[in-house]
Amino acid sequence: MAISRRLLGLGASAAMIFAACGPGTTASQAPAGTATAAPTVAATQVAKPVACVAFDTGGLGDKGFNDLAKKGLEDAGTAGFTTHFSEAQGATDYANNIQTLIDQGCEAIVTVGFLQSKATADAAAANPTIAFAQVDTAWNKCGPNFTCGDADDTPQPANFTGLDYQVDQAAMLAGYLGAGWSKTHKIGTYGGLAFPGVTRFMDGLYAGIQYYNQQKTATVKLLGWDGALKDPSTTGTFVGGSGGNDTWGDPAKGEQLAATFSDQGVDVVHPVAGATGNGSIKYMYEHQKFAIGVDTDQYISIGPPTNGALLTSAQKAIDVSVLDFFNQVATGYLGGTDYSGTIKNNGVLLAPYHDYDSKFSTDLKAEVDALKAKLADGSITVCSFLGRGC
Amino acid sequence: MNRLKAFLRRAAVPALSVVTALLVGAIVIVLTDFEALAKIGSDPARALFWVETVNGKTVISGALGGVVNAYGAMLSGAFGDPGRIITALQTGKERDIATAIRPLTETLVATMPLIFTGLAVAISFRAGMFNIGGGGQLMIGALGATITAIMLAGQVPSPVILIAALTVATLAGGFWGFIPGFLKARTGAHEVITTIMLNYIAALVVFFALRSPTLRAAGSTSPVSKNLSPIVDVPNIINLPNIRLDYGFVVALLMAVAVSWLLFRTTKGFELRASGFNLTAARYAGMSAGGSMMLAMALSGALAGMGGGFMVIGTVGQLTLDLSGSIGFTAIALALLAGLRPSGVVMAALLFGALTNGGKLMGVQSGIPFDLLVFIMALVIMFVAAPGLIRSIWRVKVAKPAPEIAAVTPTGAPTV
Repeated sequence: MAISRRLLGLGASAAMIFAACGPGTTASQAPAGTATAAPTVAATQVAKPVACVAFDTGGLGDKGFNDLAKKGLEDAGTAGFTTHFSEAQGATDYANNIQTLIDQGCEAIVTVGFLQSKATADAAAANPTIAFAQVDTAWNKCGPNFTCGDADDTPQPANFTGLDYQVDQAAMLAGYLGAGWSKTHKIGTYGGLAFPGVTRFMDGLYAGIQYYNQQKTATVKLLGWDGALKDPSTTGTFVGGSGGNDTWGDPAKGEQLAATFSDQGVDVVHPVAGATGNGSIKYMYEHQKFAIGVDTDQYISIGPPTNGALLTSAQKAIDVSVLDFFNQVATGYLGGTDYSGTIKNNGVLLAPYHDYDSKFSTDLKAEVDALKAKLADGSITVCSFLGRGC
Repeated sequence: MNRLKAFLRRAAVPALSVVTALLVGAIVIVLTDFEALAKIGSDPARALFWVETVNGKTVISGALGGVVNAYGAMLSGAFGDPGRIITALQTGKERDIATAIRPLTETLVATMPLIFTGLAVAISFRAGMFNIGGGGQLMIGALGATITAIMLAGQVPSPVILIAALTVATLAGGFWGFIPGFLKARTGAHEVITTIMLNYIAALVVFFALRSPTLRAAGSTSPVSKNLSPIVDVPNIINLPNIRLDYGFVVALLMAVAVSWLLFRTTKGFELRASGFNLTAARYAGMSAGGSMMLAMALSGALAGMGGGFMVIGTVGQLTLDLSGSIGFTAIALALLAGLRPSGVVMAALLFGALTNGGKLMGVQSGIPFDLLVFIMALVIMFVAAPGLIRSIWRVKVAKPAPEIAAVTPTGAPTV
């Protein structure tokens, strides 16, 4: 978050300058003590905006992005912000929830998930002085045809910030690691439903495995997602379901899918399906096989013993960016630019290896670090390994 | 007078169930307020109930105070905040009035789809069919409305689009309901299974449709439809900022009257109810049992589909996968709570609408998760289903459940 860091830095240096003009120097430099004391008070006691989060229907306890955003909100509470949050039970709730938060005096509102796009955009237009941010969304400035500079451009509102995570970069690292670890040279992946928030992980995983094969002239295979296709979602493996609990909250289905992959010789599974995936991790643990976590460091969120299967996780630092956004708003920021989490700015990351840190060879770890550096400086991109291209 | 007595007798169980559930909810709030209860040894007053003034505001704390705060927030979230209503009366500004009445209008907004789906469930249950597929029929109706609106956008005036979209929603929902009715009548396939399965199919059909660039929101890669509000909108009853209450609610009430008339004043309605009471007897009396099944399910689906149309065009203005939420299942519960009476459905829907909408503010203000509301609503249903329990708790004479409900609830139906 280049801008945020800069603004934060500005705020911090301003605070330091004011601190430097504190009581000690005031007496000697300024004749009127009150005149310099005033900005000092203002700088340290500037009223922090009321920070709020509107969760989507995935709800709290998803151990995924809603919970991560909740952690960001809690961190903001610890940092002295007044906080509120609201939960949604269905699409009709979104606009109402946001309006309720506004009525509670919220000045910085983060909405979670692409399902709230319309409600968030409507509220941002109706309340130009309130700063809005939306998790897992990038504002498309170029309009429906994705070409900038023509008539259908849709300029970003000055009070809207999209919080987007290029998690395919983290997943690519995980894919490389998994390819280097797999004894059967087969990795499996599946998603909840085929939309970009999910398939990005699978794209990254595929790219990481391809890169590994290229480097080592190996033939590690990925099952469940054929990134070589133009639209891999036509043949990819998905939980399906209604998009509700039966898609994202059905661990028994996750176990079945893991068993199916195992039968085909897979020994590393990367589920991208919320709590459904936790069933796969459990299955892999029980069968002395391995898994790669999603969204958050699942080694911590799942806990022992089943986390013993987790090699690592492809993580989005949603909590950090949500807190960052609140801090920015505290310094007067309103919106107008998107935040894009990358490997470079630690907005997406590969979780620590935990139990496997001593088991991975030094070479493998060094290669992953090298790939990380290349992703960070842009000399390797995920999309160059995909069938649909960049 | 007799009618009033009969009404009171019927309302006794549901009303006492609600009171009991709220009391149990209060106990849960007290027992889970660990932070306050931890102080019970050192400072019992602060632990249980404490009123103080902080920065000129009255603050209530303690475990029992938590109940006051939570239920207070629920009431003001469902019906309006007294302070805001006073401000609105004093200033008379549009914005203040909107803020004051919004809780109440949002309660009615939340009630609207519940009336449609509750009626849908009631009409099918009356005919002895357990329509578990309200959610799917609602989604298909909403999909039909969305497709119609997007296809007709800019070609005909928007009132025409509105009527066309709602008609298609009703027909599409009706068709989705007709399928299980047809399967039951012709092949004997149990409608509980087919409607549940059709829920999944409906969800995936909607998902598939939302992946197509025709419907998908411009410039988005996520499965959400285009913004429908600029194309067509259901007119609002009150024109104030941020007030979403539209004529869909009025139509919902009209539908309740229509369903009531159909069921209790027409021959077809009699046939529907007769096959609900006793299929064999109805057949013996020369009624077409299969026809009744298909008609009941089609009407049921049509009502749910119409509700979906109003939701997607009026309330939300965009089709997303979570449009129906858990409405389909809530509808079953509230139809049973209502004793399968259309008037009861309206009242039960108002209750559930108020609880869900008030529960939102409770969550925002007191931090008590919405799950408590789900818990309370589940208790209401449980108590209604067990009148004996209520009778022994409150020591009152309670009327036996109406025979028609007793007739439809067993016979291998899932416990709702």
